[in-house]
Amino acid sequence: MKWEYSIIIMAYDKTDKNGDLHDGNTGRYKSKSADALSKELAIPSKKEPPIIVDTQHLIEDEVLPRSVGAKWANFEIRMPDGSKAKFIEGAKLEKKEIIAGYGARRKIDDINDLVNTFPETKSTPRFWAKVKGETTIILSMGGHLKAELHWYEHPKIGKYDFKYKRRVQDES
Amino acid sequence: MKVKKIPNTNMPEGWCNRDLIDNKIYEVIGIEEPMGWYRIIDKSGEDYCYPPELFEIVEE
Repeated sequence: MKWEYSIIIMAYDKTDKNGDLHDGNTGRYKSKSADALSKELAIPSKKEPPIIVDTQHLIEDEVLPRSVGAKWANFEIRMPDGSKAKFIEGAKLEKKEIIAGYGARRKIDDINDLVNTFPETKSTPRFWAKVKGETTIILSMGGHLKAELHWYEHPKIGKYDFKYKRRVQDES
Repeated sequence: MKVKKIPNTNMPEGWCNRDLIDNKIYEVIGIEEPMGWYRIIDKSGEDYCYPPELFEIVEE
């Protein structure tokens, strides 16, 4: 049996700095590369719509939804002992006030941490607001507590990082 | 009272790392009863409660 060997040299097409495609073997101009064409034909993307921030909604009382699995059921409140408290479905989040950031005189001290956590807010850091409010929470060890909470809000993100501030007298 | 944050104190991961700085000395501006939590101005510029186990007292 006679064995014949053949070597096939495959040369890949190459793209030059202008985005033109050249034949891998001959080096001759072939066409524009797909990337270059798509860039040329691309329809300029529309600018993002402006963010409209209604500071009124930040300070209006909120009644937490009753439905199971609603976003409020997933929010956790950081307690001083490291445990996580939960919101009560159907409870009222009241006495809300913007304490720093958008809509307030005071700046948010840890704004850089927020922007690093949510890079999508890098172009709109001024819309971050630090808000406070009061509601009744469920402690992880059981039992309810009326508390003042602090959290952050951004129109692109929503509410973020609920933190226990202090216990308040339950007037109900 | 002044307290120093003890590094690597046994807290849930990520809980206090972004609020307090290890070995930094903080002024306790109040004690929250009945739990005895220290009220401290943290990285956010606002005072919040923290458990005393996270600190060692450096000045009474």
